[in-house]
Amino acid sequence: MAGIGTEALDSLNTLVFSSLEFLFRYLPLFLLILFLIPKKTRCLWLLAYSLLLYWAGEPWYVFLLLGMGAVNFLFGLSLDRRRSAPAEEEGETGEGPSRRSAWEAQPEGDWKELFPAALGEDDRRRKALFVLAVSCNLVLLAWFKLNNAFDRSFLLPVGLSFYTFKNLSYLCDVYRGTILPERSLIRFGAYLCMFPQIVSGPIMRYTEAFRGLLFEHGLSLYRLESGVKRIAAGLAAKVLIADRLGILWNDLQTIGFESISTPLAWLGAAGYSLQLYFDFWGYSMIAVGIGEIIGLPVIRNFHHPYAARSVSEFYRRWHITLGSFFRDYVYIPLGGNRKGMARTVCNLLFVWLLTGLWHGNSVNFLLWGLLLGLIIAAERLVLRPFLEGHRLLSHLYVLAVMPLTWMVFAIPSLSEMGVYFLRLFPLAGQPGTVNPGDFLKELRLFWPALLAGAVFCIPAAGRWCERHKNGILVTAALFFLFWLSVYQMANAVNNPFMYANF
Amino acid sequence: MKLLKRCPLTVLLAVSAFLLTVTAYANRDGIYGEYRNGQTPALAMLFEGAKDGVFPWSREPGDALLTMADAAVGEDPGDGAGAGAENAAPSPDDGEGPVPEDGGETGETDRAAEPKEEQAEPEESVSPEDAAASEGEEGPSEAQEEGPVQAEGEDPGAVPEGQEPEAPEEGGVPWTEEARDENATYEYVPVDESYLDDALFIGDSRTQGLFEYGGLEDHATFYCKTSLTIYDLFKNQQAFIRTESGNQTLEQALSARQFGKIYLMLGINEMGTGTPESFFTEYAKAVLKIRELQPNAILFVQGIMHVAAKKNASDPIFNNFNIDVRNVEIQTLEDKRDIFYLDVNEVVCDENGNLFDGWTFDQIHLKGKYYQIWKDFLLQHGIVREQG
Repeated sequence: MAGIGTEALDSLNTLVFSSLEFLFRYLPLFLLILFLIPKKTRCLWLLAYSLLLYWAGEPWYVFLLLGMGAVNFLFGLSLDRRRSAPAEEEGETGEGPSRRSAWEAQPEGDWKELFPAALGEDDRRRKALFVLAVSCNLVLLAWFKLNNAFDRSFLLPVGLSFYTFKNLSYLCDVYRGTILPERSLIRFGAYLCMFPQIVSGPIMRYTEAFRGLLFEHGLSLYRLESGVKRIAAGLAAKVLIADRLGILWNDLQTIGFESISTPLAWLGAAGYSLQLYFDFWGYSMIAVGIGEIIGLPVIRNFHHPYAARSVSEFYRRWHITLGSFFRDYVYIPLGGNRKGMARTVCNLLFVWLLTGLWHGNSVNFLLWGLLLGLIIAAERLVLRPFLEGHRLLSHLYVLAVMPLTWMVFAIPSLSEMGVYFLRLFPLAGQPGTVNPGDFLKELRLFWPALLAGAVFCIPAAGRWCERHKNGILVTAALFFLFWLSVYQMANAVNNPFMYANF
Repeated sequence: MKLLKRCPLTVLLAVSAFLLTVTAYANRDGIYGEYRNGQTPALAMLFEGAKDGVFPWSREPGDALLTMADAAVGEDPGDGAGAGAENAAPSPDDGEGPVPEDGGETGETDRAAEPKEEQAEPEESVSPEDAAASEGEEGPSEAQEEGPVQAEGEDPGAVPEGQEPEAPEEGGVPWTEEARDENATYEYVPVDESYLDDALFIGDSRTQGLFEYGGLEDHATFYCKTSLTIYDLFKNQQAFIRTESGNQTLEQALSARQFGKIYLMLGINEMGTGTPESFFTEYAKAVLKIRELQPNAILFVQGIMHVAAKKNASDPIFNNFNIDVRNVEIQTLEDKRDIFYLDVNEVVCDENGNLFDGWTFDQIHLKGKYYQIWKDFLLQHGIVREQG
């Protein structure tokens, strides 16, 4: 899965959506009981079930998750802005109208605007508390990431990067006063730990999750059907396209980068770009689908990124919840683009360096983040007018540049990365052991997945499916694709060599 | 009904999942017995079975499985006959009718014959009697079996059309004669690539790799397929050889064209199924069959290439110990006259016998550029037999 490759996911069938156990045992059981129990107990059920699933896979780290949840819950309460305005405190029960209006406030904005220069005693206390709370989360994340960087056998707790970011966004929002702190530990726990989002997001904001977690309205059959459709589509994207293309990338590594032909190197880069997208998009779609059934809002984590016309637009359409996190809680507070060009460029580079580090802690991720920061800065400074003026060229530019940046993302070893780029751009000529027929051989094996991937990168294809999603054609197709995915999964489970039939 | 209208996909999936689960449960001791495992949801068995051609309506338990269960167990006579036909290996026992453990006995005969030859090996000159005796054990029994079977048509799997032109002339008799005349053994000599002009390579994806990256495509012929196993090498369904006139089985291809050298490397895919014994039984049968179809070829049986250290340490099945158990058996087929054993592990493994770490990504296959090493090893180990 994108960005969380260093976590101990292999043993976690309880949380992996694309496992038969999850699809045919854990998820149906959860939903069945959810539909049967009274509204008031649903949130508790969600929390308990999520913890149970997490515990089944990570018996020890569930305590870390619980601990971080409790600590941040308390921090949230003590950061409550109303403490400095006692008059309001009594009147609020937590779910009243003022709370509603509070979420509708925009979370964006400069902290300094919210808290002008003259800080009272209380504000200073809150500020100190906020810094402490954020540091707690960051230190923990950094500690695990550093340990993993120096000892690859030290695995990160599943979902740590994701739930830490949920905690941080919650703390920031409470501190800014855009939301009121949650007073129910169960509801906050459910927000943080809910199994559809714990492994790899989306990083849903508390403002978005809150309404759903109240479970005020009954569960609807319409949402159930829509959610199941999302799950089926996401599963097909992940299993039939991404996992299949994973074999192509594996083939390239098996051959060894020094022995692949230049056409195959490009095919590999394209295949990897699609693989990453359908893997993560499919996964997000399943998460959103489950959320939709539960009653959470449908949030969009991907929005046809490969149809973007610049790299910066690409990242406004790719892993949107992560991008908006960095935008709202790092980039804009740093001054965003309002402090002059030099500062803007610095901010961009800083944010992208952090993004790189968040994805992984080997050198290539730093390089990847830096590279994207530079490309996006260059677009802002120079390229933008050109890209806006040339429709076709801007699309080609994105389709050519993105696979190259993904290669930096994909190849941890710098020397291997160098070899790969020399195969993409064979300036040094061709080494001796290249099999010129390799491109056609791999294309013959993988063209269906590549073609399907390419088609579903086109926004019109997605829009068509969305529009006809209740039609018989799409329903039948999803039914077929679901069982086809299950067929693939069943035969991959007992075959430990999904990637290697010798 | 209203439910179906409002959430058709949910209902369809739930109902179909339920039906599939019930079907799987109902047949869990029958056709899906082989797929039972307590962990995955029951309906997974249906999908795993479907991949092997086993469906709820299939009659025989696992009838399409290519396990050795058919050949080795074969409790009822009907099953035994079926296995004989399927394997199409005219083993000495086939003539005796549907004997249950035909496979097992072939193996024993072979191995009974082998030690004699091996003992004789160190001495350069084998006494003619010895050779005749050891050959005699195989030769006559084959001749016996070939004659009657073809005449009476008892063995339905033996493809008489393909063999008839060759078998009487070049088959059993000339070969044994040649062996009797030239009972000398041979030593390896370095050769160049043209040596491989009349060579055939048979193997799995590793041999496929040698084809793609060894630079031999202008010289040798390759009949290989990813995940090819010794069990399905001669299966009629396995028409894995692409020719201009369509796909051919190995038997058809070997009947159509004679080769001077045949290199065989198979055995890693088989490690998950069966035992070293059942593997060797099939391996010996296959070698015998190739020998019979290609009487003049020098046969190189290659030891299975090792895996790298990480895999070796972590995999309970695909490790070098298990590979070596099989390699020792493969080596017993060597007679240094027309069957030679080659072990490429000599040049691709470190001092612990693990495939060099940097030479492989997946711990199993050589990276492209290292196939050269394998090729060079083969070229260092040519056998030149002057026609006498």
